[in-house]
Amino acid sequence: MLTFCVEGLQPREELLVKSLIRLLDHLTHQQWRYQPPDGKTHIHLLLAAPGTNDAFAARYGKLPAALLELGYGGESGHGYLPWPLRPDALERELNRLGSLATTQRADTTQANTTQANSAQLLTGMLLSQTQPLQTPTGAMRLKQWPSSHLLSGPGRMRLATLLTGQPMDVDELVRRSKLERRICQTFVNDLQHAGLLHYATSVQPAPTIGSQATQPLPASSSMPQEVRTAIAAKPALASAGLLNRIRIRLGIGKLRG
Amino acid sequence: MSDHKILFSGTTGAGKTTAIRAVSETPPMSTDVRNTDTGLSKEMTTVGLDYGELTLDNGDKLRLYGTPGQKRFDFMWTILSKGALGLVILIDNSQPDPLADLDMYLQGFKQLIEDTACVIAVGRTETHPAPDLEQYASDLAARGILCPVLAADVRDAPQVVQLLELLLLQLEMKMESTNL
Repeated sequence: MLTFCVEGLQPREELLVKSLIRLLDHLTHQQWRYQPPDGKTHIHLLLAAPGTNDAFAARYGKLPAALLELGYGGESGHGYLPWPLRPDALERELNRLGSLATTQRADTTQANTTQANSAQLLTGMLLSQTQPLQTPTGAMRLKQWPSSHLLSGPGRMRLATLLTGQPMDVDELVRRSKLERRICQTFVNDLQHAGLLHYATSVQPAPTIGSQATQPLPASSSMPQEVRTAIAAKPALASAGLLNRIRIRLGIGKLRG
Repeated sequence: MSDHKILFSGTTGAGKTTAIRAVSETPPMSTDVRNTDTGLSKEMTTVGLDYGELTLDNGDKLRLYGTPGQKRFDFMWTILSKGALGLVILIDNSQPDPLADLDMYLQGFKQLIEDTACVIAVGRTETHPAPDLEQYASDLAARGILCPVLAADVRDAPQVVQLLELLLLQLEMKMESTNL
């Protein structure tokens, strides 16, 4: 049984969304129950009008682990649904967020049994059922490639790939991906909920890909000499040159200006 | 004008020839022979290498090489790796032990993966869902490897382009971080 609450919705909207969730009960992968917020009881999902989650956090001191914004205009996407609500879209989001909450619970159970992870738990890098996450900030990097259900959505595959490299914050992710901030932030939140992010202070260079991230390439490196020379000379030219030429030839255009 | 190359490697029958054909501007040259491996349900298989190419807007050539999949040809993996921009590994999920297959290619191309970029594409997941992509990701994480792993049908050109897009993105990140 998972719980949800609402924030900033009109009474009519609140009634409608609660009714829809009840109606979808036989279809959703998890059972959802409305739980009025009191700042003590754990709530898994906040259904909120856009921009009202800060007020919720200020009032109750914390945010539920998952957020689904319900607003007017725009396209359906991860973490956002426009009015009028489509039951199939709501069902899809409830299943996705429910799956995240379940993953979070499993991760937490595993983490609690592993003494070695206690330091990470204390610093908030892993999820806790009793202490929902704050919005992720700072430079981050993936711990491992995410599950398929986290990657279904516009640009998510590219966002995940960006997070396999040097740690970057959400601003950098927005700049590089050229995706809307909301899409990037929701993806990062989902990764955070799934316990898949390392933060810059804790990032250990991966021993294979990326292992030489801050070291000069060895003479025996497989990277072509031309690319190595370009890297040594002008980093911008290396990416703006060869890689963008290949992108253009493949019909995927430039990712960076 | 310069030449650059990207490698496609992976399980025999996973579709290396097909992937190259999907994006090459010239019909790929293959060294296919009649398959005598009864474990594979295909008539022809590649014992040498596949080759396709793309011409970039400045006249440079991007050469696409498909390595032979069999372990006994691993000496060619080393030769082909030299100077490659990156690697796409194609795994056939209908094989008896696809995770072991992946392990073999990760070992065989260890240096190339360390130096450049790698994307792993798992085929036939719709008919053979196990192991799932989460298991691949966990397996890679246990080896300390962080790279994209996704289901792909390489008969579909846009999916092959997506593999290359992710490879380029990784390579770009790698290049920039090398400069920091």
